[in-house]
Amino acid sequence: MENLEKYIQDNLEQFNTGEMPAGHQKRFLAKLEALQSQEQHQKPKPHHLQIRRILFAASAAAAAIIIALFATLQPGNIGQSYSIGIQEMAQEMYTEEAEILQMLPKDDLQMINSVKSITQEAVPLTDLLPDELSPEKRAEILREYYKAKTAGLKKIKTLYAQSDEPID
Amino acid sequence: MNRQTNIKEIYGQYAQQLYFTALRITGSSFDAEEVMQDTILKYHNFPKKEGIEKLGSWLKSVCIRKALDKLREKHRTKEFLEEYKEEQIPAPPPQVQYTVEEIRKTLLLLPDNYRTILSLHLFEGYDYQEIEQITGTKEATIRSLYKRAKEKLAATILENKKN
Repeated sequence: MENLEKYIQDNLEQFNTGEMPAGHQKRFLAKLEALQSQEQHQKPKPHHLQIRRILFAASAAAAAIIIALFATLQPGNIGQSYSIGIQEMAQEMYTEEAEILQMLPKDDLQMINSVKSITQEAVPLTDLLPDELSPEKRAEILREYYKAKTAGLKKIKTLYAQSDEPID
Repeated sequence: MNRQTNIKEIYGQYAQQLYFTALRITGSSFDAEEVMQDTILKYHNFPKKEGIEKLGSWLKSVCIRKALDKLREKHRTKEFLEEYKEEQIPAPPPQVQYTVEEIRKTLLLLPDNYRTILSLHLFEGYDYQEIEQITGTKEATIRSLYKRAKEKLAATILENKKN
């Protein structure tokens, strides 16, 4: 065991070098540009930048949403009766994700990250919903949201289970 | 040097190291890139830059906290390091030879809590007390987890070698 510990410590530098995801610099510059443009409240944002931000919000999903969801489910926000089933739907989505991840080869990082990106998001959906929506409407949107994501995951799971080949 | 040039240079200098630090904790390339970029953007927006003594350490610390936040969001609990603490792991024979790539790949296969504890202690050099402060997990648990995590890493490498 000390052998392993020593090996890592002796080669520490090498663990911090290697190939990074393709296009990371471009994505960073786009984020930087978006941030600066937001800071300066300048002219309307270029169309491509708006699309990139929407895509970012849509694809970076789950982590924050579940926390936001719990906040949303507090009485007085959505309301107990409207929130029924949402938590279970979120759980179902995560269960589907976990099942797919178990099926995938552990070294298929691209596919693993693609599946994870379905459930993960940087901006919680509840933050994107207009405040004037009624609790019923918010609950309805959240249900549809989880339903769509879970359906997508189920489809991927079925396709993957039916195929001997990895999904492209 | 203007602000834009400065941040690009900082990105060039630190992105890779921060990315691999975040990757070891989150286990996801997607999350690691986001954490790394958000860390540098946090510096970009940080109002009191003159108060930062060592930029590399400051960035690493922000990156680690953001990566842990990412994991906590995923687990929806602050006590994720407590998981798996009863798992029994067979010890591998001591003569096993390792490679950087083997260890790097195997780390990503470990449960989040093991990967996190190895990242913080073995790779980032935090001591147990510092890890307790960062994670809120008790030092005794951290010690035990670290031992198990190391054993699990070695056992998994050995298992993969056999297959």
